Amino acid sequence: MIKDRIAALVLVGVGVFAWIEAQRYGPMSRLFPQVVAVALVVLSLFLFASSFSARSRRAAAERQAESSEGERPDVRGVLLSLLVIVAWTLLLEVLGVWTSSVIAFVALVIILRSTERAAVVWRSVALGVVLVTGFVLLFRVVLRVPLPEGVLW
Amino acid sequence: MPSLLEALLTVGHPVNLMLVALGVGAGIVVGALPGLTATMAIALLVPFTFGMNVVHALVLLGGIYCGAIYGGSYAAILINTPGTPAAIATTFDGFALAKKGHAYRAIVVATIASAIGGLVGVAFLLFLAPPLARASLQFGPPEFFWLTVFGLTIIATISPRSTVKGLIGGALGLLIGTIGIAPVDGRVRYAFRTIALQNGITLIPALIGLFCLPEILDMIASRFHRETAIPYRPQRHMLRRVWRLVARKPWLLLRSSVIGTVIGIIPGAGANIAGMVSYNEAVRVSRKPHEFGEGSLEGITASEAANNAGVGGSLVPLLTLGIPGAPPAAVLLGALLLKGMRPGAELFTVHASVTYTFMFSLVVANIVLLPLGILLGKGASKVVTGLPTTVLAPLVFFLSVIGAFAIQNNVGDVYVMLAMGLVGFLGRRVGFQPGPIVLGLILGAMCEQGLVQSMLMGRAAGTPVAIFFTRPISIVLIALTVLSALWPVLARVRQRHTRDEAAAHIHPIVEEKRDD
Repeated sequence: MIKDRIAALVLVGVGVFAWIEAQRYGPMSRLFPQVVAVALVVLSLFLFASSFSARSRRAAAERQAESSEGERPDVRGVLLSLLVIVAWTLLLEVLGVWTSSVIAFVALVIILRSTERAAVVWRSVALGVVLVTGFVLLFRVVLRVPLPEGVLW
Repeated sequence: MPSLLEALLTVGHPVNLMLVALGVGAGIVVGALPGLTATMAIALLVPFTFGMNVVHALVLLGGIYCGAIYGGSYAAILINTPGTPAAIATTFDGFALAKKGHAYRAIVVATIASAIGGLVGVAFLLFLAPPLARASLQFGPPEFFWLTVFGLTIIATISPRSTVKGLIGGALGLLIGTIGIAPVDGRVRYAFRTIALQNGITLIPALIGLFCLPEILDMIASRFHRETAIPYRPQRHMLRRVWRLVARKPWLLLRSSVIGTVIGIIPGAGANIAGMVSYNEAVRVSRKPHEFGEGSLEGITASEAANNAGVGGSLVPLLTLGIPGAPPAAVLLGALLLKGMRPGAELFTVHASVTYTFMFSLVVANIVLLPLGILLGKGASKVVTGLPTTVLAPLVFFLSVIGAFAIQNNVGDVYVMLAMGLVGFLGRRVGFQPGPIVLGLILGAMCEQGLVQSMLMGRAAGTPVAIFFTRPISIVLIALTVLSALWPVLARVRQRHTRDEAAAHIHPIVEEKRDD
């Protein structure tokens, strides 16, 4: 419910910003974005208002009950993985696709490992390296896609 | 007549049969990789046909086209990321079924539906190409505008939990679609002096991000599935069972195939929209609409039959008028011209034998697709379902990265993919699904072009508003739009009415029993 309200307010902001920004454009190029921006603001305000209704509160309570019944999500794992994913994307051109992908793959395997058994972790790492190498070769050699090479490969 | 016979004999030649199978296999593999679309599959493999004669080249490219559109369903089912945009609607039920351990069953349904849809599309191409092509030329800006509005009504179907959130997602998608160069006067919008944004948000990276990254992060978040992300439950006599289930729905197959063909014929609409519209219609007329989105076989059938039927449809205006019905058909046009074949009457007179050989090869491709698809699908589902999350999550992201990059060989598209992925992930936390955003993104440019061009046309004719409501095809599309938009309400009223009637039947019986 609170999430809905925050999302609605953010989207109202996006709509208002899009409408104001569109005023700088010519009549033909601002027509459509302004119509859509108005629709976005109106719908978001409706979402905001309806989040106070009894029905919406009931639905939110049901969702809350459902999520508390299930297992708690691995927030630490998600945040760390997001960090790796962002770094992976930014390092693509610097290190090259193969190198950055292998490093990120290994980092993710370590973050996500469910066991401390070294053999299992090593097997995942080895499989990752083989798959990354195979796909990089497929794209570069067979499909002739010039994947970023960076300073390494 | 001699041309038809000659074409039949040519297509039956072992070399041509082998090339069709090779094309379908290569198309499936490329189409199954997220980010590599059917257009790219054909474009990437066209250079291999330079040294071939015209028949061999066309037979191979036709196979690739059919295979790639079908191959998109693999990624949609196994990792919730449409391999090609045409498979967006397949993700709705395909991945839900995979999560229940029935990935292979979903792939078999997709294969059968794709093959039948493909055959219906080719039948239209063979028998009705010239009149259908003429009809497609009746579509002007007002018709395109209404077609997109009709497409947007699908939002109500694909966001059953909250229509308002679906509509907001659609509006957000439309707004994101306006980034870059305006389609009518060429003005750059919302680019904020960033060169990367001047070309706009490319659909495929956005699509990969919206569907893929949230799924990866959900895999990571759920410790429960840490061992294997997608379970696998083998079933006995799978093929026979699924065949019976699909064969019990001939109308669904036929309707979806016809929708796919007709939308495929309209230049610019393509298989992406065909799958969505067909899915919407399947939900609308189903007796069990609540099962859609939860792993409904009907949902997969509707989407896959339509998008593969769109292959034949998109070739109708291409071969008869030289206007490609979809982007992959545009690449095929290039290949045809390279081989010295000009679309139009010449194709059906001077080059009739080659043209009909190409058409018959599409029939063969759709037949070959059945065993090949089922075989490759079994292998793919076993491999993906056997991978632990520790390998699957990074692998899917890796494929997303190289898939997004390969669209234009541009790292900027990888950043777009990541940004849209984060939007999708945060959106999912608040209950916004990626489907409506993608739908808005797909339809945005066409909708805007239709709206603005129609207004310009109307202004020139002195009827700026009337132009939207007075043309016959527009009126049909408006009626369909109103019906589609009101359908959820009508369905609810019908459901309540049926429930009341059932209750009225039960009460007298209960009371009679009490009297006894």
